[in-house]
Amino acid sequence: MKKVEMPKMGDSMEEGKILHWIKKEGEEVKKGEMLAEVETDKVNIEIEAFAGGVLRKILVPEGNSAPVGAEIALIGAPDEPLPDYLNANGAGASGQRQGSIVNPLQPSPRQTQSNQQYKEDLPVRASVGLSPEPTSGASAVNRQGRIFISPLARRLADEKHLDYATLQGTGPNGRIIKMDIEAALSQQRSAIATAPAPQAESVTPLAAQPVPPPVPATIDSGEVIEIPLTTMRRAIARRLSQSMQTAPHFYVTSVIDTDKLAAFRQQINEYAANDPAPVKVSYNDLIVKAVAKALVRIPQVNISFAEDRLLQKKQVHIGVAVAVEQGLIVPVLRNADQRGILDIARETQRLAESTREGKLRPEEFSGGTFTVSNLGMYDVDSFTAVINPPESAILAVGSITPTPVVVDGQVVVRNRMKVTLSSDHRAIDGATAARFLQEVKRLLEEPFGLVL
Amino acid sequence: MTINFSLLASDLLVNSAAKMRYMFGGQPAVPFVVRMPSGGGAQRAAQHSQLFETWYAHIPGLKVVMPATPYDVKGMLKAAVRDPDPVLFIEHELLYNIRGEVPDESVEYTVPLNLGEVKRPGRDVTIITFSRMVHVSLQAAEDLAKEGIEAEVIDLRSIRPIDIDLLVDSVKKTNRVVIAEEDWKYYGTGQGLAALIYEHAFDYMDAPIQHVTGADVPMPYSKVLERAAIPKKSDIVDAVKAIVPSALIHR
Repeated sequence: MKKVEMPKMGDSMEEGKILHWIKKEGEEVKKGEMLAEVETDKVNIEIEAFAGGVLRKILVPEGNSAPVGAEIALIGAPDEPLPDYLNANGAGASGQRQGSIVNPLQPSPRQTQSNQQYKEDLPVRASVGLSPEPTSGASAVNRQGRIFISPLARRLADEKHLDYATLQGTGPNGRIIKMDIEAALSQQRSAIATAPAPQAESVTPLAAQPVPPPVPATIDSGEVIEIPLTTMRRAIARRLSQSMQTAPHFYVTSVIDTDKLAAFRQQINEYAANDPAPVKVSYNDLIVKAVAKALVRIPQVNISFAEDRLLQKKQVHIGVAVAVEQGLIVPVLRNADQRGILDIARETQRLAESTREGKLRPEEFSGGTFTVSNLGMYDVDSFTAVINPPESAILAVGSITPTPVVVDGQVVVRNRMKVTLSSDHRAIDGATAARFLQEVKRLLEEPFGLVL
Repeated sequence: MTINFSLLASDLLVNSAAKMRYMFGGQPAVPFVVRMPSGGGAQRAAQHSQLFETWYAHIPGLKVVMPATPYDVKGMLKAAVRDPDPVLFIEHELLYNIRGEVPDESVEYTVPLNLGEVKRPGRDVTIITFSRMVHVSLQAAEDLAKEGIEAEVIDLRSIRPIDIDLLVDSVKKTNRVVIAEEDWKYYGTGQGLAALIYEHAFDYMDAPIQHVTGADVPMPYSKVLERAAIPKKSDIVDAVKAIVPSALIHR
């Protein structure tokens, strides 16, 4: 009997919710066929069967969540007996079983469990004080958010200030062991720029947009309409509260004259329209380019605060906040500093499309080093954004507005745009933030700098 | 007489021998050695196949040793005879036929009664064992080595006192422990060792301690059942593989 486990899709994924079982119990499954659609805090993704056979048992019914690594189904031969723990506990109809969610109403399976399982369940019982669900000994299951990690691994992680919550354990029962910590540390060392960065969301007033009916059922109880949290909404709430509470934000605003930028953009777009692969460059693409160049010149902004040290990233990966139905996602434009403007435009469009279709791959929304959040299209003057940890800064871009300004003693009308940089004061000081913004302004006001 | 019969003398051993020096203010020494064959595997049935080292090792005032090689037997027996305290010198019956290097009679040597020994160095897991299981463990280590797992085999030699420093040093290196003993599992030597290791080396543990023991039954007379009740090489191999991550295997 082959176990199907909840896959880990993205650094910050802790659990996934089964939206829909594409295959039903008893149905034949070929290796590589899609089994189920899973909602994570970022995307909806289809998971495929890694083994062929018959889908014998669905362990997590539709609408329920399971932690990463938990068993969600069993695939086997049509006549293969189901494991004892399923039979013994009468977890018959799939609808009865709450997946990995602890169900206090279930009778304790302890009497029927072997010593081995008893041992497995003990720590969970101790931590939640509820009767555990019967589980197979093989899955590491982290019910109620408990992480299984060996004492040694925990000590090493603490010493190195490594957040092991995002690691996938390779030890028995999915336990995080020394080897996993060492692997994570060496990954961190070898690719500091793409260090395990649980990508989060920028807080922008995006949530104030008309919200389409969310997936979970809403309850209209007269006074209020109760809207259950989607996993994405929960992730936004958690990560951005954490950011706001731990990172002391400060804000620096700059006004940028965009007349030259408009002319420059028009020229580029005339050229790009006749390109073999035509593309339309947006103001945001130019802003991303300017930010990427400025980050190369002032790398002190391309940084993460890691408690006892700063991690200055060698690569420039720019997150671009994209509004989606249920919230927002920040797809990441990798090595933005090395890309040409047309390339940035194409890649950003592709990422935005994937985002809206919920088809983003985990590596496409993680590992950012700086985020740009643009609400210019909504006619906002200016706004401040919440830093997207572990990044240390985010640029909030307002609308381009015709503004009366004094030039050589004359009042003239100029197109101007306000941008506001939020910085984490633990990592970035005011003067650095100002210098960075000055460089962004210079590049956007003299846009040939973007291609030179 | 095997250790099985020592229960009739246990009042003298526990209540007299172990207490004399203490109760008389350290004045009298109790310098005697009790040699006792023990263990199963020779179809001597339930009453004559037992290992009672755990019973005696529980008692302050007694020393309990279980050497596994001819060299250690000779060296420790001499040390035991010269020791001022009562020493229970337990010999596994099935070890009487094994061969091993022993220095010429002209060479004077002893083996201390309080030290274990690393019988085979390794980096991936520490197998803590004693008496006949030392040999089984060494064979298991051979098999594991073929699969790329380097097991360190420690012969405890003395059950009381325990050479805890040796164990902790090894655990700091390997981060994983399998305890292999022939005796029953519950409330025994292995569980005592496990508790000590958790106490002294918790922060070095990368996996829970595995415990290989005899079956929790009176020793069967049937040859087939007796074989099934005594831990085998494969039991130790399996216990190691249960805690050594698969990435280490065949690396």
